[in-house]
Amino acid sequence: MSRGPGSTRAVALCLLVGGILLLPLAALVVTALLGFEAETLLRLARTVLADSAWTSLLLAAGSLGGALLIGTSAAWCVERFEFAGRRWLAWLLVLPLAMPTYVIAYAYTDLLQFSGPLQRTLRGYGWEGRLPEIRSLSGAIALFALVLYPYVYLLARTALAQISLSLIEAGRLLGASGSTLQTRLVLPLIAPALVAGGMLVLMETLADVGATHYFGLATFSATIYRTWFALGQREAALLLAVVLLLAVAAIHLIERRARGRARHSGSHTHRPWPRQRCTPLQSGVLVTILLIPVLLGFIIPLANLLWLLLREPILSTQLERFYDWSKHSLILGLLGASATVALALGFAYAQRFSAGAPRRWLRRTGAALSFGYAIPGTVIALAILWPVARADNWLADRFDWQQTLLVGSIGALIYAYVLRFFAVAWGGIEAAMGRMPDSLDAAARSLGASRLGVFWRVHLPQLWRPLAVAWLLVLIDVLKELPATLMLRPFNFDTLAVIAQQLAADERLAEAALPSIAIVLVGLLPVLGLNQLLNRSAIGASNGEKAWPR
Amino acid sequence: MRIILNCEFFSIELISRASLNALHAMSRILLALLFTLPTLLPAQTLNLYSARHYQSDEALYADFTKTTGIKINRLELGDDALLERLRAEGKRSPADAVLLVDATRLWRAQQEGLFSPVDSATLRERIPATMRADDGSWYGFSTRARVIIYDPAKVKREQVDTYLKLADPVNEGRLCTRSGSHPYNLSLFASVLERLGAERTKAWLSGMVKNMARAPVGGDTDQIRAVASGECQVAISNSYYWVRLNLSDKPEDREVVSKVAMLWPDQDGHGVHVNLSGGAVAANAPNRESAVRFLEYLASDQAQRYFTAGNNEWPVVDGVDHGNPALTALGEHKVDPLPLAKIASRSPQAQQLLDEVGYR
Repeated sequence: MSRGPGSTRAVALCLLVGGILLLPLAALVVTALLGFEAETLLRLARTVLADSAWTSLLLAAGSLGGALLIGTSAAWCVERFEFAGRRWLAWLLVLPLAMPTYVIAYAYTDLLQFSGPLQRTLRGYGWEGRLPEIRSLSGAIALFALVLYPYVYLLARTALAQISLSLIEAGRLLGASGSTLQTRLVLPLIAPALVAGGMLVLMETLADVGATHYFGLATFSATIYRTWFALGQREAALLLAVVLLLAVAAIHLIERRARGRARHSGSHTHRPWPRQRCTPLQSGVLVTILLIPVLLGFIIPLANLLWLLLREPILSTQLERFYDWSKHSLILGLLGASATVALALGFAYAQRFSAGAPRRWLRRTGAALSFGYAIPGTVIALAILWPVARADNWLADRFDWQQTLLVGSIGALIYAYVLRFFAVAWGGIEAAMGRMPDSLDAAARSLGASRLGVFWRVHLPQLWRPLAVAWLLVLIDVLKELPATLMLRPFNFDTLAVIAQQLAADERLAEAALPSIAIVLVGLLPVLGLNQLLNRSAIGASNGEKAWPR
Repeated sequence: MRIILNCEFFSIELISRASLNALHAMSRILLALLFTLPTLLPAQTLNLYSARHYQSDEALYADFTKTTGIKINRLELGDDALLERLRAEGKRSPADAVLLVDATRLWRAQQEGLFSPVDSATLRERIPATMRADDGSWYGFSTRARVIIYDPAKVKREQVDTYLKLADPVNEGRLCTRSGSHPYNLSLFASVLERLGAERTKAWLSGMVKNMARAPVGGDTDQIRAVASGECQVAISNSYYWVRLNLSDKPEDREVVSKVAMLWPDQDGHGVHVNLSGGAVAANAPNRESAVRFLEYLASDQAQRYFTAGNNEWPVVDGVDHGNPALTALGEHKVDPLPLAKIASRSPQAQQLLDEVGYR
């Protein structure tokens, strides 16, 4: 561990940036605690609060369970078995990640509702029953699990691919086999990845306002929104948001503990753990099973949207502006992802080079920033809007500017994205940093490498994949992000997500199909990139590539 | 020349001073791009915050720019988010004109002082008094009626031809609505509340809840489709959703239209409830003049026709020949003359009644 004046400044800088980013959250807590009216809260507690908390809990638990089940088993099959079509399925399984929750909600609502094509066709054949309502809690759980499982799948796959044969052999030498090997050795090795993926699913579910709003679910987030707008009780709404924050903080602590125990240093030489070969029959069964989440989470909803699109005369004005919408989406995505990953990397490094109190503070700040991911997007947008607008007014008064700078600027949007998606980048990067033993740095330094040399020749070869994965994950998230983009965006700056939401809100689902498909397709690019990365790591491993070049 | 910047924990080696300069220049351009977008506006502009998201409005705005030379910068947001942004931005808000789609929200924003009253003879003369704020804080520009959709094969017209009859026991298990808290419903309920008082309105709302075929879900179009598919037999909808289905040439929409009927409620009573989409000048409008011109333009015959052609709403200005055959086909009807400002002031209480009777 190398400490010095440089690292102190680095820690200070990170804490400063983190503090600035955390200001809106702090303001949120303070405003809530100082301003709420007990009467409003009591009224809410008597009427909707318990129900909505329960709904959110069920939604989160159900989605998490579903995503863990699909994601872990898919990752296990793809990484542990060799079968025909494995490489295809490996990337097909990532596709649902490109599907925003609100888009899959639109698609399935159209397809499955009582008056939709499926039930109409069934009734045409004389069927008299009715399918369960898709716009319901169980419908939402199913859809969330289907589009969120790739978080678990991706992280679990990476973790599985990193397990070295040496470890397995050591396990076998010690007498472990079969299920013991899996539960005592493999599971602890991939547990941090599962927990990290599960956290993402959990937070994404709790924070969702797109699909849940469209389904009219009385979730906790919906109650916050209603308290703010319909009842006009801003402080009470903020207090509810704080309660949500505390719940997430509790989950986070549990995650920390899990990861703290599971912290381990990677082995120095990576030998791939060979996959089990499958008979053609086994291959067929595996492919069929693995295709189910791909079909349900991606192909069917996309096909339904395409079908809607093809039957809708495309307005020429829509096509003309289509290019702009996509461009705006991409600009925000690229800037948002780069800023978020840069900050997470900075934090990870500052933490690596510090110890004691500064290190603890960095960890706490990082954890606090991660909460942003679990706050409903609308609340975070509002939490940012107010302080930023205050700053705007102050600056304009102070310097006598005619125009304001911050609200309605891309800068404010990037700020929102960093705060909202820090967790996505932080989890993976911090974990990857933790896998590199400190002794590695010491060894490199003692061989005369400069700090830059250590970063460039020792850390980067191990870090670039987690960095790229984090960057792509944030990119996809920004492309799908809705509430903050809506509320903070500049004039004449519509994105694909914004347009899709507006058309759907205007009950023009068929016209919303074009931008919805576009979000999915634009989101596919980073998803394919993600897959390339993971595949390359697999190939690299199977070629016996050294963990880092000399 | 080779310089080394020992910058915090990263040592960044830069090959030459030239590249350092280039980096500086690039970061400046980037910063400028990031933070000055809103300031790069030409002189004659109108900053419009709109809660209307109808694609057809673009023609309306383009026409305004052509007529007046004023360029429109648009920010489209849901009503709630739009007002919140206006509140937060406070006195430095760039917003000039604001368009909202519900009288209640216009009224609330007026109460909060987010609008600045406009004293315009043109607007006073053209917009009927029931369709604007007394002090000129906001003006309605188009109306949408809250009509009743029913299944003529299963329901007799006279069982559902007033709003109050929707709560009759005869309609048990027949009713579909969207969420009661949605402004389109809330405004209707507030108008009933204004007439009947809290007690009778509460009984009426609770009767409707009893009559529901399923819990409120979806939008107005979904309710119409639900009637056509047999999920329920009566629904409430904004008129333009019905017209939109009528004009569609998709077979499944034709099928919906063929199976359901629309009626004008309360034609022997007070008349059908209408809500409006309206506009106002923001309290701190930097380009107030442009904003007033914009509102006056919206009251012009031409703009009024855009509203009706684009989204099948009715013009508010008397005597404008809307020339929309789809609207003419709906027939003559009597409109509830209750001032919308008055209805709007009742909506918070209406929301409380909804919570009390469990109308989601």
